[in-house]
Amino acid sequence: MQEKTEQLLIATVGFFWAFLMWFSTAAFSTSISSAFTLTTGGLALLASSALWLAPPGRVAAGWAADRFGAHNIFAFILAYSGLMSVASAFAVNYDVLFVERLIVASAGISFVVGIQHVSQWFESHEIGTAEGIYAGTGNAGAGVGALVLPRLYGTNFDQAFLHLGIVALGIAAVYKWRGKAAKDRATAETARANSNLKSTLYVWTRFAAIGLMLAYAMSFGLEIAMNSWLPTYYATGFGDAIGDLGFTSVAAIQTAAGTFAAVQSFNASLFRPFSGYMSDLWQRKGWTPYPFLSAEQGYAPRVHWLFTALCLIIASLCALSVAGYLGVLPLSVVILAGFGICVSFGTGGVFAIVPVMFEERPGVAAGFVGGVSTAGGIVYPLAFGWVPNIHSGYALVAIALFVPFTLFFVWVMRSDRSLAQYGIGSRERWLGPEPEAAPGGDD
Amino acid sequence: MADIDADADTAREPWYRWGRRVLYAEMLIAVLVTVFSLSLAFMGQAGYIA
Repeated sequence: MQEKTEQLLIATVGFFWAFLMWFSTAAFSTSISSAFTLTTGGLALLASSALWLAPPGRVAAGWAADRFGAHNIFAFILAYSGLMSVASAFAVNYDVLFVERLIVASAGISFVVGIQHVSQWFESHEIGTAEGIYAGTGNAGAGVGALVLPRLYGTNFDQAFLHLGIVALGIAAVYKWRGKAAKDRATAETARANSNLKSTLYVWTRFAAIGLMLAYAMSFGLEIAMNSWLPTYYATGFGDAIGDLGFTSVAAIQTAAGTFAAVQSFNASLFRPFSGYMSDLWQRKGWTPYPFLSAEQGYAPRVHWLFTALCLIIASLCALSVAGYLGVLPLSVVILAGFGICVSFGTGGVFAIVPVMFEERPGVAAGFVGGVSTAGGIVYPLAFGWVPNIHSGYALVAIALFVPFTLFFVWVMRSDRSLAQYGIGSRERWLGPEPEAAPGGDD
Repeated sequence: MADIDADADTAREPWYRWGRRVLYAEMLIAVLVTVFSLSLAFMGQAGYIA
């Protein structure tokens, strides 16, 4: 096995397990609620808590991956979250369990660490496929957890948490043993040298980084928002239609609604590698069909592919609202499948660009793009639930948020100016004169 | 020309061949889950999950 293939495999398995642990609390929410007699509010708090640590945690983890090496940071994240998962199996009161599961859920910050790790091993012409396989397979951990864990463990969530934690500790040991920071010392040293505060602020102030962050908020932020929102949406918005199909008890309606919701989760995760492959393909073929976007940048075809994905996300989100108003359940599920694929085009498209655009600062850039955007997972469900008609929330978010995000993306990506010139403050402002700057430059 | 060369080099690499197989297998799983959910939505045949 090639060494870079081994690194990709380790990162993918590690991320899959981290994602499984991240959403394992949600898979047992009903059992936990029953065991600790939670109110509806308490249950909602437990569900949303899975996302709280992601935005700041991912920013810090991305920086740490550049600084200390992805293999060290990933092993550390799996080790502490695994230990905490084992501890949560023995929690005797809800407060302790809540805090322990909050820490376990922080395993999701490992995403940016793996992105950094893969980017340090694969070349720019194959990065889309490699990052897609890593992230797409890993993301599938959420869907697998939702479908498999309750069937495997029933209501014994403590046993599930115990076993998940023990396996995480094993993967952490393998990651530390076999993982290597980069393909060569020079690549690792460049990332380490660029992991300072000024370098971080330089990345955060590039308009292109902000545009990509908004694109990821439109795709991955929406994906995780839908993971938590869709079961409620189908159970509430299509309750009668589901009842007509023969699902009459509360448990049966919830199971059916969860199965419909899984369509989005699986398609958004498992089509992601294809999106990365398409980004590589557009790059190789040099396809730049949109005249209003720059065709001069080295990564321009990847940007054009991503713009296609953003337009499809907006269109399919509006179509979901239309299917809801029509009240046709099968139509809604068909559109949901298409919607999940469009979301995967967005997620795969963004992270086929980030490591190429910020070649010298992959962890810091991935932390910013992949971290801040996760806030969408908290914000969108609030908007979906805020509107009087449950079906209109999708169109509202698409028009009020995603259209402006996409316009900003177009405004940024229409420019032929280099990354260094195009942002708040110049490269010199943040990094100093060229000769004194750290190695590399991302431009 | 360099891109075409890189493309050919990548296609020859073992990891890329396996990577594409993984990619197709994952899409197939997604399609199967979608078909299962659609059969549920159209026919209401819940089977063991209800």
